[in-house]
Amino acid sequence: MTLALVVAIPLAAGVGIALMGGRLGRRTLGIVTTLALTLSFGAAASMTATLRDRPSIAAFVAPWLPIAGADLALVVDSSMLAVTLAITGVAALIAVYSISYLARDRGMQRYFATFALLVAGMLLVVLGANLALVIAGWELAGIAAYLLVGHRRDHAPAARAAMQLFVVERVGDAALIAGTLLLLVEFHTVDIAQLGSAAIEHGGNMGALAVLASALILVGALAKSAQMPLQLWLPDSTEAATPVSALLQTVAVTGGVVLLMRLRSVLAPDVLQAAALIGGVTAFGGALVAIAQRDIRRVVAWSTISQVGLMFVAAGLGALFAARLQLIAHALLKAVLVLGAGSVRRANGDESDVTHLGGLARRMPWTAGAFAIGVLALAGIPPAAGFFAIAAIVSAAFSESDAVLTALVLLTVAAAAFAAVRLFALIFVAPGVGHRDAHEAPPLQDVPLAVLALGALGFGALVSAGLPIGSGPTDEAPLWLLFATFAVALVGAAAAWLGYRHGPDRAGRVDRALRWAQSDRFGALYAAAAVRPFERLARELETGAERVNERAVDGVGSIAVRIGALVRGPYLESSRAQQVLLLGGTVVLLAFWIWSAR
Amino acid sequence: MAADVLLISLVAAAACALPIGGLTRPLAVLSGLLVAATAGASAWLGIGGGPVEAFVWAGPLGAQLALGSDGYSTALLMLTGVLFAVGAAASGGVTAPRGYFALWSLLQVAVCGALVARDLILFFFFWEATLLPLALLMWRWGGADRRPVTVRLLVTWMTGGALLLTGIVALGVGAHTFAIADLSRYRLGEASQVILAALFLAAFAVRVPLFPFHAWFPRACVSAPLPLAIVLAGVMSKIAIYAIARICLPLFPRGMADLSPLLIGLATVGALYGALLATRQRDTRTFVAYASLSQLDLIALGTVLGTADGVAGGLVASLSQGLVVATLLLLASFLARRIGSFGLGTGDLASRAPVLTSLFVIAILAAIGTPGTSGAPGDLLILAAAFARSPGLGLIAALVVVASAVYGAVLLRSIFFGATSERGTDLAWRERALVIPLIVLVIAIGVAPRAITDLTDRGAPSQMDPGR
Repeated sequence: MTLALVVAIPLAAGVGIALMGGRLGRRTLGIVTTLALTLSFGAAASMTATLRDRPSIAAFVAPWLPIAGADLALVVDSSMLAVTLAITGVAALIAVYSISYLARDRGMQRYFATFALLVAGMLLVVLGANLALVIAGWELAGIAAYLLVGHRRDHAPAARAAMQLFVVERVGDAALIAGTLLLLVEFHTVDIAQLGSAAIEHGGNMGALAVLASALILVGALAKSAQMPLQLWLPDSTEAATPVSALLQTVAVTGGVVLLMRLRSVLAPDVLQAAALIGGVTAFGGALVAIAQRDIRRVVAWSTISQVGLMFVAAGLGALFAARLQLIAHALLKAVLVLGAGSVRRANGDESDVTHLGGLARRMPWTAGAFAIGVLALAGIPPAAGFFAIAAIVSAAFSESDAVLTALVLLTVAAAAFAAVRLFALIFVAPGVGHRDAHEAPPLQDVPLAVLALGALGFGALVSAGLPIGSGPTDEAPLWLLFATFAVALVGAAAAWLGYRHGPDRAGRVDRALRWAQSDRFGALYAAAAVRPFERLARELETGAERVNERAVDGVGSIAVRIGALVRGPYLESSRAQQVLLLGGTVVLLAFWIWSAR
Repeated sequence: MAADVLLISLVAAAACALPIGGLTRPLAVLSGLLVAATAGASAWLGIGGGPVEAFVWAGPLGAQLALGSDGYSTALLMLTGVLFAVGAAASGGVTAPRGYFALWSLLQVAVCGALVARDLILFFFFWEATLLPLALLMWRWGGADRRPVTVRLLVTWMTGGALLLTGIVALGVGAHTFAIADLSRYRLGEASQVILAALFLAAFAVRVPLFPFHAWFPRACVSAPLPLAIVLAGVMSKIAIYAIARICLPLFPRGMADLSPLLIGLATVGALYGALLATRQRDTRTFVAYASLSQLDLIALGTVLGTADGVAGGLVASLSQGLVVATLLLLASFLARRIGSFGLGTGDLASRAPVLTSLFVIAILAAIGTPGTSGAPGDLLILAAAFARSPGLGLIAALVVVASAVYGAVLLRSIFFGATSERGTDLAWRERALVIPLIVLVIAIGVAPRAITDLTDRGAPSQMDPGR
């Protein structure tokens, strides 16, 4: 029952605000949302004790779809409970921040309604007992993200980013749906626990269908979690308001990781390995691109892509403990960084270019302090949270004796530390060229920031003190590896500190070396490989095949006359004839293939 | 129940023709609601699938006045009643209301009749009887280009009808009966089944409309008066889907199995084709028409797959598509009333008309099959049936999800983004009263789709079994 409340409270808050929030003031709406998320957090926390005694809690609400296993049912174990707490807790603090940050924005009813719905959707992904419910939450979160990014409707870049996000999300949805239905065909259920035991019964030799299903589900996870090659929506989405970015980069982006973690025993081993490799490449590439960015928001967004890549490495290797640790630590520290960056921009007249900021440590001491903790946590400097997560991932890769992954992770650690410290140095330490009237953010922004920063710091301390965040053996790594990881992080951080402490000029060589990472090659690739062919096909079909078809039907009454006209006339130009042949041929091929496959 | 819905509609049609002043519209709305309520009550009480009520009609021909309903037709009768009521309510201010509403109710009689006829000749009678009021309504009350569009529709439909009649007569003369229940026990040879199924499908495919027989459809949706467009896209297609599921599949199991590769190919291509073309439209009505084409061909795909999942998914998706089309067209007309055109790209509505925008968003999400709305369960079941048939087919069909995302995004963008529009006010209560019940139904089916899918099993003839 408590379990159902965890999801039901944010859902009810979102729907309630959407239906009846019109009369409430902005502050009340914020308080209602915060309260709902806090209650959800509390409900989840109250299950901690029960989960010490038994492995999982399940709640059956009602039957839903007429598909085996597709009921409204929830399930939680201690590991997903930890993720739930992180999601609801961080989201509640972001909600508090947005009350003050969005004080001048309009449409707060829509904002807070979609905010609560996004969290509810993610909770369904984390807690849904079957893939149908996971898909429902997945799409709910995706659409809420679309509406949130499009919240400032008169801001053209945000509108473009929202459109891109919507389509990429739907590509991910389609892949996830297809993968789920293939699993249904193969195992006759969509219940995750039953799928797990069915897959284990099949053992290592899974059929081709199961591999295909796993690959499709991986594609869905890549789209949701902004991994290569579907990562561009995340940096572009930073055009949205800061709290929206924060919610996307801490909560929404982890959906794919959660899915991989939950389907660990269902997915084919090869596909999981591919997930780890893609994650590793994305992690390193993302960190490099982050170094090359000048827009403060994009630095943070690319570092998110990179850090989520590390989660994919861990989840793909089956190091669920490490993945969970990284997910929670990242949610805390990235909320600090995104919100801190928002406060900085707000205080400096919406200036986002890091080279135009500087020397803000004295003017914004609280923000600087919180940001410093976030940066140290991201860089993997103990005792902040990131170190333990990174150490766990490195040792997981090492104990799999996967040299490539270990190297990628270590390189990522160095690059991520470099990017984070570079950001901090340029904003807060380098000689200031920023606005003279920059001032500390209002308390309603600083307090959630401070709480999150303390969380990032304290979570690390708690983990080092042996906080049980779900079962799962920490891989026994040799001590020297931990020191090596620490050393790598320290070198990256120190290099950035020395290079950027006095401003961006001394490290110009780095910028030049990474110029390739500033170009929009992936954007051009999307356009060339998907967007333009799609548009072209639609246009050609409309002006060609559809017209031909209409004329053909018009000719039913006077076939003989019309056939003559079609052959002579302008309707059978070569390109149109080709289209007709193409469509007809597709039908025939499909038909023949289905017929022969019987 | 079956006879009741016919009587209700007939009485309404007769009464509308009388000089009763301003009462015609309320009467038409009432008759639609009564049909929906009767069907709903019989579904609730579990009467659907009861005995066929048969009377001798054209004895020498062997035709009977046989009426009956199963769960499938009951669900579609509910949809028919709701959409006819909504359409009538949206027909305020028509010229010559007596003729309009009399024809409107006659159309309702024909649609209901086709859904409850249990005799092929009777079915054909109602099937063709839809044509006359429809054509007259378009001819007299339509918009631009109404006459050529009506002619095109008549020619296409009548061609299909002629082939259907040929098939029915050939089948009935051979079997010495036209009763559907008897015919489904009568087994033809494989070759005859293929030929007859093709003749029947010629008529049904045109009305679905199955790609590439859809040329009449988009323009008819634009030229018809808007309430009629709702019926055209939301109800007419459903009779054809119903006929495929409840006449073709049980009567010609082997013929349908032999033809299914072709039909599956056409339906799959059509679902993608409609979605692609929808992204190109700049008029909300053609937009809805192509999006409907995509959705209807997906429904046809589920139906011709012939499995329990496919047929049940087709039914849920049919109801969803009918409700969503009605909602979208109504909202488009409200929007057109405010900005003076049916064009897309009207810019930021959200701040001026939050209720209109919210309802639009929900309707679009339902149209592209988002879980929680009625669009999801049907699509999921159809895709599941496609995957069960062959994983490759399922993958191709799943592309519809991506393509529909693009047209959904196009429509969403057109109402959301852009400079703040100075024109337009939010929906009046009268307009809300029309749309909100539809949205409530959309959400209700999305939350509890089993209420619908459980109906398909009730009183259903045995499913397609290629072995027979």
